[in-house]
Amino acid sequence: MATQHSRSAARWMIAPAVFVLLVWMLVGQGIVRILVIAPFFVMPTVSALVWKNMFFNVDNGLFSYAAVAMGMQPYDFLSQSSLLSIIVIVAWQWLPFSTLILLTAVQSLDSDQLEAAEMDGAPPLSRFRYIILPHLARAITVVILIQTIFLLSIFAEIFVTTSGSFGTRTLTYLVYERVLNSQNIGLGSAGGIIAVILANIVAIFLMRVVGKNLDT
Amino acid sequence: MARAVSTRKKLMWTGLAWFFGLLIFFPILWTFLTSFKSEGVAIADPPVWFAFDWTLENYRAVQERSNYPLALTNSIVIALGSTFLGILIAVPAAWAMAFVPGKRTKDVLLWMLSTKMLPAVGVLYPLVLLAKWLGIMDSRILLVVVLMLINLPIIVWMLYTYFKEIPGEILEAARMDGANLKNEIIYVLTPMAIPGIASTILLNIILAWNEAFWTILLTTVSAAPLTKFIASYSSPEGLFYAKLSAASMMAIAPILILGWFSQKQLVRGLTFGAVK
Repeated sequence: MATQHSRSAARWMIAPAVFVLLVWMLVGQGIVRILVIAPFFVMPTVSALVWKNMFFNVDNGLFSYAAVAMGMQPYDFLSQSSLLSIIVIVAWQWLPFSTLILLTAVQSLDSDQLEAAEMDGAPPLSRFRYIILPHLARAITVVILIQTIFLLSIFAEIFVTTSGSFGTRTLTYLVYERVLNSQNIGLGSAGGIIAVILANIVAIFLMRVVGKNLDT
Repeated sequence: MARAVSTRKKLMWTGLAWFFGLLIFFPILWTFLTSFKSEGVAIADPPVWFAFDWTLENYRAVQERSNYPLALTNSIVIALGSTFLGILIAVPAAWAMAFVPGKRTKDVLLWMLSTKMLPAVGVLYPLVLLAKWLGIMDSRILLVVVLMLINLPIIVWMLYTYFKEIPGEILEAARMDGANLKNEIIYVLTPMAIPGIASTILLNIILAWNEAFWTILLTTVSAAPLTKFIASYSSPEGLFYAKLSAASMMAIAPILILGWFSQKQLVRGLTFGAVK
């Protein structure tokens, strides 16, 4: 009797708690979105320096502290695996952009389809594979194409972290060095042309997707 | 999505969403916290989370650095100037293409877009040469013009897609009621176009504020905006984490706030209407 009593009392207490939590999370959806989007609005020099000093730094970085706390050797990210470190920084900056695009695409999915598939007994994984993924195909293509084009010309992140050392000299950085530092204008211009050609190879596909959309 | 999802599942997914949201936001949160620490606490091991003496010392120190006010002014002038100039050019262009399309309008639009695909570095040397020849290296006017040019395709495209959404029937109705071209523009089209123009302005201020290729390479001191100012922290002297954090927060705070208002326009502006 007593246990039953306390159980129902617990239920009465939990129910409002869950309700409040759900309401709060419904509101909270906007907050999560804001949290996820924020990195895109951080200027490249700031995000690169914050990552370089406060996370990757071998003496005072958070990653080093964590490594030592777990009994491991601190690891000098930017000089040992410099390319990976820069990839992490750039990925962090651009994650919000791809998230937003995919979110926009997911929200345009007709939920009737999902419901029908669920009724017919399709497990979650096949629902994702055969309904959600095909619906997102176009958005994924756009994300890959646009980011490839934009990220081909990453500059500030390399400028403030490694200054092109440890094998992180990209085409953009090479041209900058040749044109502005060593005044080797011929090589710089040639590098610029190669960069343009590279970007154009990707751009052809992107322009097709965009052009198709223009007709409708 | 009006599907019935069980409460427990929903809780699990929201929990997961919050976890990743906080994970992604963490570097900004950490910068925010560090900006209020003293330099000694900023590098304390183990890291101090909230229980430290919150101080505004770093913000004062950064503002007292001789070039901070100049960098802030430059950022504001360059971001607003290039956006304003761009809008001035793009509104008539997009207007003409949206309301009076010709046979080649689509080609013109795609051609404009293709310039956005050009890696900036491809025109680095010609631009530097031109700027030196005109004697305007390291000047605000150079950056205003350059940033306006690189963002112009995005401005035109965004405005075009917004103008395109204004239904033609409304124009016809206005014409039937005897409105001439001038009244049509002032009383019918402009009020409907203003929201689109506003969001275009917002997105372009953000893009210009954060641009970090031309702003770093075309300036030295007198026209250097915040991007360049922050870059000067890459070769620091002594303890500087807290000051770096304070400078960073001051550089990103205004745009972070503007950015949260412009999430929707972001997708629209940067995918050129390929995703709606």
